[in-house]
Amino acid sequence: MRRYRLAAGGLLLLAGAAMVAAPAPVQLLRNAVFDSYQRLFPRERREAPAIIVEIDEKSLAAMGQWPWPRTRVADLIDRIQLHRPAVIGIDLLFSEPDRFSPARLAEALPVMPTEMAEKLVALPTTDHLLAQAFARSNVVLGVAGMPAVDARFPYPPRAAPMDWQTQRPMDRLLRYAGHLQSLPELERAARGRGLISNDAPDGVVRRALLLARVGESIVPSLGLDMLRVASGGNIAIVDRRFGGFGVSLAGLEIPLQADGTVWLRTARHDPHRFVSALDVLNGKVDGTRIANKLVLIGITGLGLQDFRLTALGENVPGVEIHAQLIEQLFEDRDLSRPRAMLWLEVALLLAGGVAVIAWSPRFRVQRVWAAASAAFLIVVLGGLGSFLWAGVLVDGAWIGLGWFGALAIMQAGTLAASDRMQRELRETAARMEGELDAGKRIQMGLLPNPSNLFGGDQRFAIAAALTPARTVGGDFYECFWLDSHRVFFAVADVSGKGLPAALFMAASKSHLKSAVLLSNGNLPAMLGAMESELARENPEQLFITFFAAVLDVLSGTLTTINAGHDAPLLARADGTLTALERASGPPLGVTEGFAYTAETRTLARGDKLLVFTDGVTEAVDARGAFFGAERMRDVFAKSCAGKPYEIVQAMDDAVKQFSAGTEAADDVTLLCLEWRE
Amino acid sequence: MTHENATMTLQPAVFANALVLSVSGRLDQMTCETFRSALGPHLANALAAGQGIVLDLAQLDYVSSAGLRCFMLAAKEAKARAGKIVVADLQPMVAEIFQISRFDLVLPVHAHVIDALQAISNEAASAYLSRQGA
Repeated sequence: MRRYRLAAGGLLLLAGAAMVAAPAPVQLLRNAVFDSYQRLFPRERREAPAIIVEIDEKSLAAMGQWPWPRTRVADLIDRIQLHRPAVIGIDLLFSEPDRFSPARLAEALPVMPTEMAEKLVALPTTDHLLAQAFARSNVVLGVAGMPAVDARFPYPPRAAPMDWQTQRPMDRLLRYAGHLQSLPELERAARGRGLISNDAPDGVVRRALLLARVGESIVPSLGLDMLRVASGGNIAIVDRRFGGFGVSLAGLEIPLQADGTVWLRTARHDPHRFVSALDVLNGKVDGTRIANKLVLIGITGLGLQDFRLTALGENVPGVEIHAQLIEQLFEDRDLSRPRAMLWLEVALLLAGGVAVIAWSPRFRVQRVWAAASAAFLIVVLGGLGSFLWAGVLVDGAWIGLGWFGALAIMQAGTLAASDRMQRELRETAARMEGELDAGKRIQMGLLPNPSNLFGGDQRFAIAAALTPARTVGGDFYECFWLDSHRVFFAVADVSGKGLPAALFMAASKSHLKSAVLLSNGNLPAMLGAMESELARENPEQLFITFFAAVLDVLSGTLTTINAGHDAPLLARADGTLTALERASGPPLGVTEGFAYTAETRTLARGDKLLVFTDGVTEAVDARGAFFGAERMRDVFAKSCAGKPYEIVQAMDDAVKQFSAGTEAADDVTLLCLEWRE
Repeated sequence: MTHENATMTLQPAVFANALVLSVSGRLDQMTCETFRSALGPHLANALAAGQGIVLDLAQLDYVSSAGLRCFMLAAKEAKARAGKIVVADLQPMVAEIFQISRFDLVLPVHAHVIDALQAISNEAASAYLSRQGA
């Protein structure tokens, strides 16, 4: 389990590090989460502060291909200005002198008469005419950030002065080494200039530029500078909570990301944002759509403009991004991702992860998953709520991944542990079973079969049965010819259970035979010999209760000896039923050198002796009651008219019936002798 | 298998130079290890202190051959250290088991605790009686 805890902890740290470092795959998932917020709740376009005068296919078809003569652009500016817009932002660059200027035309047409050419050269340039149109209105010109300095524009663009209300350097702003802008004459006539670049590393515009560094100066975006010109205010850079920067303008405060971008609260593409340049030029436009608006001029004609993919998955003209940004600023719909949010996410990831590691093994699988899922749902809903109402982006995906990853590892650990436990249980059970089987095999394999030994003899009969308990005890019985007319038989019970008892029983049984033969049937001597043999190899300090007898089959003389064993029952032919004398001493192995005494009696024809172990009297029924000596006497009394094997069978059946439904706690051993001679 | 403990308990009481241990429950294969580990320290302390030991079996309901082995081991230890251990107040069934197995020859059996204490010393017996009286 420890290994799995470490692995889960490692995964959490890795997930946390990934969230902070945010390599491309992490960014991919994070963007997917943020895009899903936008797609679930795209911004509604409530106000229309901006309008796009688009140089569309229709305009190009009617007015000729781009670039148009600057006079036509000047005409467009004048036509727009007619409707009193707040500001005109131009998402275009006029970097080269116009080739339609009169002097250029004179150069381009060498066949022209000289005085005509001189007149043309004396005429003002079209660029000059455009500059004059600019001067008649509020124009903000576009500036394009470039990766290298362009030889035509070696100096940074002339950006609007900003009011620096922060002491900290904005050293993480997006930086362009060089830029492109319009001709100096046009620049001078403009009221402002702003960046028209919106770079998107993966092609999806999620954030729009608000400020960037071009060379050494900080330049606002086209939209921001249009807002500045329209409001007549100043752009101020302010400090915000959690170490962020903001842009303040005309009562608005816009949270900036560190690179000078602002998260777009993306709205759907809307044709109502657009009006065709051709309609404006022909005077066919509704003037109220332009009056007091921030007007953007951009190209949407096919093949000429750049399409941009938004977070909503729509391909929109680049100029529409500027319009959307203006709308968002007007609606005051901030969207930001403060750096602090990341640390909050990492903290959540680690806290939840630690909870998973600490608690998941203690509860059931379903509950753990339900709890983790509920917690994750709260995070997801919290993220959505934060997006909707606070305008703060929260990424719950990596938190969830971290949690569920850690949970999966912990779960694997729990499974492996329970697997191992079950396997161990199975193995233990199998080992025990094997041990029990071994015990039973030892036990059963050593028992003689009386009917094989004495089956043909008419003078006496011996029957025996041994039913081993589940946990092997150490009962055994023995019977063999001592000589031509004497039969030895014995019943014994080793204390204890299991393999040790079975092995001790096996040893006892082998000592028994040699002791009997060595003592030539002298029972006290036999017990003494056995006792000293057993004392030498009895590490478990087990003992044996032991009943042994020698029958002279000719005379019916029965000599018995008893070491701590239950006294056998004797059913006389005359119908009386008695127990033999009780044991003359304790079981073998309990004391040393005890002087056991033998008893001798003469049997009458038909007398039957029943020897048993305490597995019979101490058999237990389902309610916990003992079979008992009384019941045993009754069963014996009823069955003693039969042959020994029938008596053994009857007693065995009675015990089994009595203890039906319970597991036998001890071996049941029965031996019955009948003398007939 | 926590029920082992629940069915076998051992309560000590000292009377002068005698230690009376009241055994209750069942003493069989399942409980004999509990009994042995509970008995061990008492036995060692009492033998070291030269106290006689009385096992009061009034509350002992049953003893199996595994239980008898525990008694045997206690008797062997007492004998090896020249101590004295007896049993008293056996229930009929336990008494029968002692008789059948002839453990009455291994451990002296007394009808009552007071008889057993009397056999150890007069002081122990009178301490017992005064405690009973109070």
